[in-house]
Amino acid sequence: MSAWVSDVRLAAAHEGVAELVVTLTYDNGGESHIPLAPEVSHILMTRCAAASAQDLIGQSWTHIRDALSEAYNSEIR
Amino acid sequence: MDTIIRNGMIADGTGKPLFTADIGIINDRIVEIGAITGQANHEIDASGKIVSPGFIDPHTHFDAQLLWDGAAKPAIEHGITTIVPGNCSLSLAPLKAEHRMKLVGMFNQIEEMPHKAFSEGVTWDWETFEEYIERIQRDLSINVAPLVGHSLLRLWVMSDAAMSRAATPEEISDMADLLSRCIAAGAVGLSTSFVDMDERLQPVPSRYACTTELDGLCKVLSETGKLLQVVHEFYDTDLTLARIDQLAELSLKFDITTTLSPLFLNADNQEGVQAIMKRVDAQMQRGARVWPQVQTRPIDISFSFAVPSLLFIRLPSWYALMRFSDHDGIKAAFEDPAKRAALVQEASAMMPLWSVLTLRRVNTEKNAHLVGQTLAAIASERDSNPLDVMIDLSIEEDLDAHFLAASMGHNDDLAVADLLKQPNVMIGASDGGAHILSFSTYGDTGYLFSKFVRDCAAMSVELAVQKITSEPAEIWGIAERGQLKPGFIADITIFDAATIARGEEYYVQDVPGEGFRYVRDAQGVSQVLISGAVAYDQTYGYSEARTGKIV
Repeated sequence: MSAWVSDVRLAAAHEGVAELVVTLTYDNGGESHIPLAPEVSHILMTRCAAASAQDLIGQSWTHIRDALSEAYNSEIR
Repeated sequence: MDTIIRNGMIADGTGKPLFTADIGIINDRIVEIGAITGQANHEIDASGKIVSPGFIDPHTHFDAQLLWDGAAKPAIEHGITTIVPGNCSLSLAPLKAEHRMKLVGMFNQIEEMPHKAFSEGVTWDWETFEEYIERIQRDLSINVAPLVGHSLLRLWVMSDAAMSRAATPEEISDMADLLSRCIAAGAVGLSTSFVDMDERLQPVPSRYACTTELDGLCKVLSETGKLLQVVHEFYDTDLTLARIDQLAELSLKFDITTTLSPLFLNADNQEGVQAIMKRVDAQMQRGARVWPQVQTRPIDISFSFAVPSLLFIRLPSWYALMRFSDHDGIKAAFEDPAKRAALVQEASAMMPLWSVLTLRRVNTEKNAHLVGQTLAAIASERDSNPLDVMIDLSIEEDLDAHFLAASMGHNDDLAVADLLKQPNVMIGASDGGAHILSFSTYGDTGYLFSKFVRDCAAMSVELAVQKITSEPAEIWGIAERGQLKPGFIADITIFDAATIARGEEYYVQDVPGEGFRYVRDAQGVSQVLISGAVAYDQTYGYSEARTGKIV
C-alpha cells in the first residue's frame, strides 16, 4: 500500500517547541498523523526541496521514513 | 493539641460540600474535625479560607532537584505536599557509576535538565535505589512517592545492550528481582516510555522491551500492589487507542493500576480525544484501570533565532534563512535593508501572532526592563511595529532574544474543563522540575482553581480539590493522605478561593552551576502543612521543617 502527504500543520509539543504534524493518506482512504520533531522536519524539507511546509503536500511517505531514519542515525553531539 | 486550624471552610477531599469547622492536630495526624473548644500550642486562623488536603502532583521530574532542594521549590507553595518523580522511564536510581553520564544525557534531551546542574549540583554517592532514597531523605520537606524508571532497570541489568535489543529470560528475571528491591525501598511503581529518545536521538532503553519483559515486570507490580506509568504516543489517536487497549489487558491480567500521560486537547484533535475517552470509559467498565493524565495549563512555545524554529515553516524566506544560514548570516540578513524588507513583507500577514508574542529573555541590561512585555506593547513604546521589534531585539541581543508564543495548544478552556472533570481522567502531567529553560512547570494547581473554578465556573472547588487529593491518593495507593479525616496524616493546604493563582512566570538563577529556570510564585496559598508541621507560610515563606516522607 502506498501513502502520500495530504496535509501539514504546526502543533505544540509538550517540550515547548513547535512540531510539524504530517497527515498521510493511504490508498484505501485511511489517514494517520505523524508528528515530526524539528530535526526530522528540517531533513524532510531538504530531501523534498521544499521551501515551505505546503510544498510537502503530495510527497510520498517514503521521504518521511527516510528523514526519520537519517535523523535517528545522525549523531547530534 | 499541637495545632488547631480555626474556622476554615473544609473541602475534605471527598467532594462533599464545604462546611465550616476546626481541625485539630497532634504530632503528624489529624485527631479532630468540628468545633474544638480547647487551645493548642499553635493556632492558625483560616476564616474565609479553604482548608483542603495537601495536593498531589503525580507526574514530575524532581529526581535531581531533590538532591539539592528537599522542598522541590516552588512546589510546596503551590499547595503540593506529595510529588511523584521518576516518570517517563527515567529515575536517578538504580544507576551504576558507568551509566551516570548516559542518564544525564537522557534527562537533558527529554526533560531539558542542564548538564551543569548535574555536574555542579549532584554528588554521585549512590547506586542502588535504596541508597538514592536514603540520600534524599536526609533533607526532605515534601513527601515523595517515587517511581523507578524502566530504562534504569535495563541499564543496570543489560548495560549497553539495553539500548539495542530485547532482554533474555534471565535478564527479565534479574530486572524483576531488581524492581522488587526498588519497591521494597519505597518505589510506588514502574515508569516506562514508548516514545522518548535519548541525546543521540536513539530510542531510550525501555523502548527495546518486548511484551514478555513488560509482563515479567507487571507480575512484580501485581504481587506488590504497585502502579505502571506509561508515556504513550500522545500525538496519534490510533496509537493512543492501541496503548489504552494494551494497558487495559495488562491491568486485567495482573490486576494492576496503569496510567498514561500526557493527553492533550488541541483544536485539531477534539474528535480524537473524544474517541480516546470513549475507549478509556469502555475499558474501565470492563474492570481495567487505565487512567489518562491531563494537565491544566495550556501549552506555550518558546523560540529564538539562534535555533531554527518550525514556527516559521510556512514562511519560505524566513525558513530558508534560519535553516541554511549561520548566526552571522541571519544577523546580516536582518541588518540588510533590502533583505529585511522582503522578510517583513512575507511575515506581515502573520502580524496577529507577532503582536501577542512575549519577550521572555534577553542578555543586555538595556533591554532587561522589556522582559515580560508583548511585542505590541514594546512596539508602542518604540513607535514601531511588533515584527520590526522582533527583528530589532534579535539584532540587539545578538540573536539571543527569546520569545514566547503562549497558549498554542490545550487552550480551549471550556473543552479542557469538560475533560478535566471526567471521572476517568486524572489531573496531572505537570512535568514539575523539567523543561526548566523553556517554561515553568509549577503552579498548575493554582491554575486549576483560578481558570476552571473561578474564571470559567466550570467545576466546583470541592470537585477540583477532590481531583488533586483523594483521587490521586487512591489511584497511586498513597495511604492515609488525600483526605481530611481523623487518623489521617495532617498534610493540609489552606488557600483563598478568591485569589489562588499560579502567579506570573519569571526567570531566576537558582539552579546549581549558576543555572537559570522559569518559575512561578504561588498566589493565594496561605499555609501548607506537611505531617502536621508548617512547611510554607505566605508571610514567612518556607520553614525549616523537614517532615517530608517517602510515601
